[in-house]
Amino acid sequence: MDKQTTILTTHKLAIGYHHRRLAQDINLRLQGGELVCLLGANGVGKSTLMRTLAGMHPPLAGEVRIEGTPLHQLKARTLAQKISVVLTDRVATGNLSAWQVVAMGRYPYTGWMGKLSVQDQKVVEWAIDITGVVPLADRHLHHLSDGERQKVMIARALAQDTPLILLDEPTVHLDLPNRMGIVRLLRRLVKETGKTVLMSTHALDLALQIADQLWLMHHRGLQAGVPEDLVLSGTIEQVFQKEGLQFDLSTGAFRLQAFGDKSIALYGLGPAFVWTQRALEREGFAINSKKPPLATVEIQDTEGTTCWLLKTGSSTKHCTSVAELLTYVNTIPLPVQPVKSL
Amino acid sequence: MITQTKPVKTRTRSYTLIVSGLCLAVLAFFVLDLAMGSVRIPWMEVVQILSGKTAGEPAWQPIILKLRLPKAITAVLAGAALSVGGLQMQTLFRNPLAGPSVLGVTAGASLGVAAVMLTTGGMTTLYAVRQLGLAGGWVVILAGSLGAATVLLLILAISFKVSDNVVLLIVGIMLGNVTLSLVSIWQYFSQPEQLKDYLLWTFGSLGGVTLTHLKVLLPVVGTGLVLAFFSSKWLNGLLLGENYARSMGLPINRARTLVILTTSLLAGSVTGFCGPIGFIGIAVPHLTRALLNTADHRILIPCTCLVGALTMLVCDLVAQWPGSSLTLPINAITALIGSPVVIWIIISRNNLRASFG
Repeated sequence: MDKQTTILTTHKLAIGYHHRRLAQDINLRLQGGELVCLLGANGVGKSTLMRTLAGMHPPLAGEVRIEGTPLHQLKARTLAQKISVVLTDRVATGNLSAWQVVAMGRYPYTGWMGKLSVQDQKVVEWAIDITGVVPLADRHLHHLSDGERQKVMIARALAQDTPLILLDEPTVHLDLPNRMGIVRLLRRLVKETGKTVLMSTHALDLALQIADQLWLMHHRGLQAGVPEDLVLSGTIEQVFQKEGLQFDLSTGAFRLQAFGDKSIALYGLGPAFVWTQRALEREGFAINSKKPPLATVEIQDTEGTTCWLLKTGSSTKHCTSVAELLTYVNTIPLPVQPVKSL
Repeated sequence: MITQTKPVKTRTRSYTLIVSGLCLAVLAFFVLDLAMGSVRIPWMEVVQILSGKTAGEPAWQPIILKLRLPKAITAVLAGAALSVGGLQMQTLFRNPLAGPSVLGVTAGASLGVAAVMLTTGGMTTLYAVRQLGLAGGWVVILAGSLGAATVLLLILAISFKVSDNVVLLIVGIMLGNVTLSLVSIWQYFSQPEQLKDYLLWTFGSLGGVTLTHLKVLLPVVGTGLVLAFFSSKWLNGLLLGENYARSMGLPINRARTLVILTTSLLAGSVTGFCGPIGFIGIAVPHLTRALLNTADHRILIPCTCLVGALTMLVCDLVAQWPGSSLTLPINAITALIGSPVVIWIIISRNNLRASFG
C-alpha cells in the first residue's frame, strides 16, 4: 500500500461517556503502512479512543472518517472490511479450535452460513502461517496459554484482511519473549503488507523502539509525533512526569529519582558504569550531581577484572564487586545538615 | 497449504458418523415409543402400520395412528425445540445455566395459558380448548406464544438500553419471577376446577396433542428451527463476545432480536401445547457439546435437535412405564432421569468449563 494513503482521520473528535468527557478536539491522521503506538496513563481514555475509532463506541462530538467516509455511514460489514481489532476481552469459549477462531476473521466476506471459499481458506492459512500459530491450529482455545491465545486473536484480525488493525494492549500479561515476538510480528506486518497498526501500550521503552508515530494521551488532550521528536522536545517527559520519576534522555527510559540528598561522583566507562550507577541510585545517591559529593567511585578495568575504588576524604577502599561497594558506601557518615522540621 | 486444510475435512467426516448414528437412534426410539405402552405392539407390526398396511390386530391401527404417533411426533418436536432454544440462550448470554425457562419465556407462556384457563370460566378449560380442534389449538398456542413473546419483547426493549448481557439475564430472571407471581395471584382467586386444569397443564404432557394440533405445532416449530439454523453464523460470532462479533461485521442487534424471537417461538409454542417442560432446554445443549466437543453452531444446532428429540423420546418411554397403564408427568421424568446423566457427563468429560471458560 502506498505510504501516503490516509486510512483514518478524526475531526474535532470528543470521546467519553455521557457523564464524563475524557478528551476532546482530537484531530488525528493514520497513514498506510505505519505502526502507531498509543500511550497514556491508566484511565486517561486509551481504550475508549480505540473503541471510538473502531466504531464500537459513539463519539461525543466530531467524527471519525475511514478512507474519507464518515464511520457512522458505513455498514457493519463494510466497516469490518476496513478495521479489525484485538481487544483485551478474554475470549471464554474454548470449544473452538484455533483454526476455527482464525477462520471467523473471514466473516465479513462469507455468506450466511460462513462457508469459506478457497480464497478465504488461503487467507486463513496465510494468517496462521505468518503469526506462527501453525502448531496451535488444531488445538482448542481453552488449552492455549495467554500468549498463544493472543497470537491466535492477532491471526484472526489478520485473516479479516483490513487496511487498519487496532490492538488494545496486545502485550499486556505476556512475558518478555512473547512480548517481543508479537511486537516483531507487528513490525514485520507493517513493513511487508503495508497495513496500518495502531496499538495501545504501557511499555514506553518498547513503543519508543518500534513506533513510526506515537500518540501521547493525557488529561489535556493528545499529542502525536515521531517518537524521537517527542523525546527531544521534552513532550514525553512532560506527559509522564510524576513525583519521583525522571526521564533519562540518553536511555529513553524512566528512572526513579534519587530520593536522598546524598551525592556521589562516579567515574568509569561502559556497562560497568551504567550498572554501578543503577545500583548507587537505588541506594539513594544522586550521581555526578551539582551537590558536593560524599565520595568518589572510580571504576578500573585491569586485565579483564573490574574493581571499584571508593575514595572518601583521605581513605580509599578497594572493592571487587558491586555488593562490596554498596556495603562500604552505606557506612559513609552523612555530613552534618540543618535539621528539617517534620 | 493443502495439508493445513486437512484437519477441517477429517472433522467433518467424524460428524457424519455421529449425525447418522443419532438419526438411527432417533428412528429406533421413535418406533420403540410407538410400540411400548399399556398395549404392547410388536416392532414389525408398528412398521407395517406406519407403511400403510393393515395390522394383525384391528385395534392396533387406531392406537398407533391416533394416539401414539401424534405423541411421538410431539416428543420429537418438543425435544428439538426446547433444546435449540436453550442452546441459543446459552450462547447469547454466554451462561451455562441459561435456558428457555430463564428470561421468563416459560413464565410468560404460563401467564398466557393461565389467562386463557383461569379467567373465562368453563368454556375455555383445557378440555374444551382441545375439543375445539384446530381453532382451539390456536387459542392455546397463541396464548402460550403471546405470553412468552410479551415477556421477551419487554426484555428485547430493555436489551437496547442494557448492553451487558449478564445484566440482561438478571433482568430476564426478575421479569420471570414477576410473571410467575402474577400467575400465583391469579391462581389464588380462581375456582378449584379451573385451578385443576391449570395445574395439570403445569405437569407437562405430550399426550394431549392430536394430529390436528400438530398441523399448528409442526410448522411453528419447523420455522423456529430453520430460523435458528440460519442464525448459526451469528451465534458462532457471539462466542467471541459481542465486541468481537461487532468488529467482524455481525449485526448484533438484529442477531439478538432474531435469537430472542426464535426462542420465544420455539419455547412458547411447545410450552403452550405440552406445558412447561423443564430440564431439556438446559441439559441437552451440554450433552450435545460433550458429544461433539465443538462449539460450532452449524453442526451443533442440527445435532442438538437430534439429541433433544432422542432425550424426549427416552423420557416419554420411561413416563409410560412399560407394562403399566400409568403415565407419569413428563416434566418430572425429564429432570429425574436427565439430571444424573448430565452430572455424570459433565464430571467425566469436564468440558463445561471449556465451553464457558
